Amino acid sequence: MLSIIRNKDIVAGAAVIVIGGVYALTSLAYPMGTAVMMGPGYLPFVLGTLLVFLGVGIAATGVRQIVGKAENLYSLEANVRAIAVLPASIIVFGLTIETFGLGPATCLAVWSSTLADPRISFRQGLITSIIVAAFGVLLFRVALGLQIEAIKWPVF
Amino acid sequence: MAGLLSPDAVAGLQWALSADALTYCTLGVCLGMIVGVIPGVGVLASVALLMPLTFHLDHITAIAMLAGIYYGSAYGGSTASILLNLPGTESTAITALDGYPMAKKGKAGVALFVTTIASFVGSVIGIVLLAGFAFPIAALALKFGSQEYFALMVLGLVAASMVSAATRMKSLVTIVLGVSIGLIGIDINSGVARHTFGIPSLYDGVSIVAVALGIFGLTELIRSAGQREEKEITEKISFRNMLPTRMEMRQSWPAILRGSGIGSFFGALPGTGGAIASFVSYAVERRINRKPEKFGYGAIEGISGPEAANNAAVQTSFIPTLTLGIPGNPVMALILGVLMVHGIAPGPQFLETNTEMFWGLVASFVIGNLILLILNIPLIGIWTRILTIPYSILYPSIIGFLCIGVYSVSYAPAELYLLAGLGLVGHFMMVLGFPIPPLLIGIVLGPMIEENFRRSMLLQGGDVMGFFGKPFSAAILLLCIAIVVALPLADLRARRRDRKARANAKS
Repeated sequence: MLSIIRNKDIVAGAAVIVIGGVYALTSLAYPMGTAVMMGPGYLPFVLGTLLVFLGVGIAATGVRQIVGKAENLYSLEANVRAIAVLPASIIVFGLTIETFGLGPATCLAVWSSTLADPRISFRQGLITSIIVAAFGVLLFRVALGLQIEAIKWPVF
Repeated sequence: MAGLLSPDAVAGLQWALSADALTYCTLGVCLGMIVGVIPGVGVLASVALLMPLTFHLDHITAIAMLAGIYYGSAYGGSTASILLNLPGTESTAITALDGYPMAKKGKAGVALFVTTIASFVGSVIGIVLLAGFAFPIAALALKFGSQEYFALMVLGLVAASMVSAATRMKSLVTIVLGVSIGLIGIDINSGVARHTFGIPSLYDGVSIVAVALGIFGLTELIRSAGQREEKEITEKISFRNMLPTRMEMRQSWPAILRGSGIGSFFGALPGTGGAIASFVSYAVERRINRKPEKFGYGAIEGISGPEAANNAAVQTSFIPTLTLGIPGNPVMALILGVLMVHGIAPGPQFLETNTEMFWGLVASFVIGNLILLILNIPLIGIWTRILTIPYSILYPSIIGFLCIGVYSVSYAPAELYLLAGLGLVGHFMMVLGFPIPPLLIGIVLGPMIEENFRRSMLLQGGDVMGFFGKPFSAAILLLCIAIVVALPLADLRARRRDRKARANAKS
């Protein structure tokens, strides 16, 4: 069982089948039209169906590997912390930018991103984040005139 | 053809020499060199990273700067290859094969000097071809209808998916997925919002900035953060013996010229680019050399040919983008995306009416390459110091600029959530063995393909075979079919031969 869910091609194929299937099915909500006068749903439906077929093909190679007792496992190719922390740090920026302004949001995002690497000390992370935030404010707010306050005092 | 001395060309040159143009061109090539030097910060990621800045510029300056990053990185990439045996960019990986052995023999200076010359010559030849071929091709393309365009775009997609090293089925998935993502947003024919899930920022389509930064920038950071070992430069470069001997120069020249030819050819083709061009050039040099055994141990032809090829390919890849509006590689797709955000659809009509802008770009490419030629060698000391910036400082800084960059384009926090999500998507695509760069070509070409497909089908009365009624589109589509059928068959045959060889070895 484990060899099935850890097999690269089976997981890849399954993912493609699901994505293609959802894409094709949701396209049915839009007018299909005809081959001469195509509606907005026509091409998405065709592409989604194509994806499902390709997904089946990929999964089939995975099945063949398992039958042939060949191993083709995927590995995460990154440290797990980075996978969780880096997207989260960008979300942190999105959540804070409109409340606190450019400087603090950048600071928070950069500092939180340093948590992905356990070798970075708190001090180094703090210094990096302050410098990046200052540089970002200078470049985007002062030089390029971005329409967002450098620091905003939140009103509760 | 508009001659070199036409008023438009002169006006273009004047623009390229203006203070603004010079500033951004210099900025572009320097940034390009820096990101080229730093391993792990790819060209795509860095062009993407600077995209937000270019929305504050007019479109031609923006393109000149982004192009500068692209060809600048082709120069810088070889530095890391030679000094660290760690290619700064994918297309300079080949240079490490003979460049690093040269560095170990104490000839790093010579290697850097020769690659700079080779890069410059390759670029100039590529630019000359770009200038010479752009208008004839555009004149031809003006006669194209939607069928021809559809065929060419399909060729672009097929070529992009077929040349990648990943399994062909997975590359095909990436392309189809890209086109599907490209179709998200309001359909221009019917006004129906497709797959937007009611999120307003998706109405205009998935933002190319968020895609590029998420799938290339963030994905790269996720892979390397907290994993990368810092590598020290052990090689001391002595600047005194930078000049190659006359013998070395004599060996290099033919390789440089052959490399430029090979590079120009592959650069202009859809789907191929610098990486393949430099690889082919290396193979050619090794095959025709009288002493192939010295390759891999510091053969100077092994760095001069591929470097020239890589740079020539970078320049000629502008040919299909500017004349047809069809990007041949992901970086070009990104640059095309920038133009489209600026409200410009490159193609023959655009070229015919904006001759001045074209010559301005050509002039700025020449100037940019001159700047690189002059700067590269004296600044090697700085480049090597840049190589020692620890990744633990680099990656959090890049995160900061990713965030500000995306926000500065849209002022919508939703785009940041999209960015985070796309970074994860990119990462898991990589984990599962899908090639990522073709996705971008799919996204950019998606809406155009649909538009031309619809128009063609209308003309053909709904008959798919109508595409084979016109000679040009028929030829191109048959070529696509040949590629799709032939390559997997070749794979199969190779696998079978492999198996047979193994069976023979056993018995």
